[in-house]
Amino acid sequence: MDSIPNQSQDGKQYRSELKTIRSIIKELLTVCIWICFGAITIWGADGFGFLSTTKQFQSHPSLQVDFPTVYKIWKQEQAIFVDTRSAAHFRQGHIPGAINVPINRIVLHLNDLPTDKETPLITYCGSITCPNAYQLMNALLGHGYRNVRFFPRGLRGWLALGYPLETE
Amino acid sequence: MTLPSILITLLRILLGAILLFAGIAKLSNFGAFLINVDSYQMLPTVFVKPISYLLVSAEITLGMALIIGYFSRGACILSSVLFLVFGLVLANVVLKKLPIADCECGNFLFSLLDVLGLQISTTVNWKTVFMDIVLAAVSFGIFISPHQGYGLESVMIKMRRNQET
Repeated sequence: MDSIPNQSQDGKQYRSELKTIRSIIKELLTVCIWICFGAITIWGADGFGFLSTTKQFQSHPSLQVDFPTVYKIWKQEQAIFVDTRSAAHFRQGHIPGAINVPINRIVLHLNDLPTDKETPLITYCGSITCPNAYQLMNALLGHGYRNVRFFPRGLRGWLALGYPLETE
Repeated sequence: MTLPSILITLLRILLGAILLFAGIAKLSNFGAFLINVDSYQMLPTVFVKPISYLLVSAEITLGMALIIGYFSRGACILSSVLFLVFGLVLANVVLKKLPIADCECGNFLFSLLDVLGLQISTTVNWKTVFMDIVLAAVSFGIFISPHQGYGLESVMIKMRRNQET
């Protein structure tokens, strides 16, 4: 006699658990759809230039220095390399001879830059997706430096070709 | 109102705030976030941007869902997965000794402290990995907790019950 209510209870519990699992899966799917919508919105914002990540790729080619020219310039010491990354990144490794001017601390580091505004400068940052080299180049042009270009591939590109690294 | 439910709600809101602040911080400096994702050397360059869009969107969406308490169970599972993924990525950075020192993306709690002006550390080390794993555990703990927190969802359920009666 006891087995009938037990079976009924088990069935109820099973149905309740199934309902909970279904609702959790539904929640997961809904949140995933929201995330995808959000990602599409951010992609759109980036496409319209609100996130300022693609400006460097649209800049004039004469402002860019790429391989193998960049290595030639470094080897012949024809320009000063300016690392836009943070001091901690810089200490861990940078292009030999480079000076560190973090993008958010330009004013504090202006004294580290050469006083001659005609000195050729090449800015770089972490990798090709980083906009800071382009931004620093513009900032330095704004501070009166007339011979500034940027190296879009950054330190990752430099390392990829096996060029030397200087650490502190 | 019971004490465990209040605690669960507070923890959920804290997790949500951590995610939301981290997402907003990344969005405001998206270029720097791209560098970080690229520097982890776990993705081909072509996937760096799409994955970054998804990660930032996930943080903001999950953060909002956890704060308001809507679809919070799903958000808890996904946020624990997100914290675990970041923990694994950072563990990879530490193990491979990659030249990444300033971490503005991997650790959500540090991002929150940074936004609040209480920056305690910006280096990737085992501590940051541990922090992400703890956050993943807390998030999963909220999901499996028998106590339901308070939020938009509980208010809506209450309203529905009132209408039925």
